[in-house]
Amino acid sequence: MAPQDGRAMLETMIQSSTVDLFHAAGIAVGPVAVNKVDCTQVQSRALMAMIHFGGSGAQGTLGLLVPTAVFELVRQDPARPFTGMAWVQDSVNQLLGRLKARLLQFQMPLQMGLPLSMDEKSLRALLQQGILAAYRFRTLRGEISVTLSGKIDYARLSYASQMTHASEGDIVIF
Amino acid sequence: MPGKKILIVDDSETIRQRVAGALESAGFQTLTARDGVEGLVSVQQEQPAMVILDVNMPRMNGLDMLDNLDVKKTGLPVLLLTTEVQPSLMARAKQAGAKGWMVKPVSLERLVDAVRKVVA
Repeated sequence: MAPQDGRAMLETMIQSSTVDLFHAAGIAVGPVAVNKVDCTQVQSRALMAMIHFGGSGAQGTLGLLVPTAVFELVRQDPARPFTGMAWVQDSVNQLLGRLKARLLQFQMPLQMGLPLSMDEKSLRALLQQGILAAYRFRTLRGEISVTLSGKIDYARLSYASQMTHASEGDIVIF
Repeated sequence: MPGKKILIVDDSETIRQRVAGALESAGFQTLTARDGVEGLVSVQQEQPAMVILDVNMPRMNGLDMLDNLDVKKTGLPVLLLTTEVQPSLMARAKQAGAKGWMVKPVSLERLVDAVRKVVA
């Protein structure tokens, strides 16, 4: 696949995966614009998490930045509450899981790290390393951002076949 | 079946709370652990009727915990709950004796149904 096509496809995957992820949590989000290089557009948020990934052809970090007001929209059982930081870490983990599943179709298997909380300092460090892209999404309670940093060999993306593996929400009883 | 003790092993507080809440609403008792090491201790001490197990966790991942549980001998039912979809990982879990594989995010209603089937 031509690198520019691979890049465009990955961008579509990230945008659709993010929309799906928040939709599953009952939060409507819409992509704003793709900002490929200008990291000044990335604003720190109260709830930030990141997860590292690696594999042949891709190595980097995915970040998720969410305002507290958006977390307040998340449905919770009052008897079993969870914190915003726990939720944003789980969300970035699930976001990378969705991307990983989609990339399997394009012969780019990824290994996932563990989700980590991100503070202002680690966000700045990530931005100084250079981000490949920052994706912004509008919600009723403010903007969220997804950042992608690292190295990705877009030319390695090669469509293999229709999905032969499980996907989100599947329950397979052996 | 209600009242049976289900152990949820996941490093995500969000998942632990959501799954535990859904299972308790369905009448089960729940226990939680944050990784495979805590999970193994909990299995030994609490003897749950079933385990719901994440794959990617610190200290000891879910597949290593599954190997340590030796469920083919003990018969303890285990359902994996993970973002992973790789067939090779599913095959490893099946080979180790797991009862099934659930890909996050799973609807809590369907998860409770799966637990009922597996623990029955």
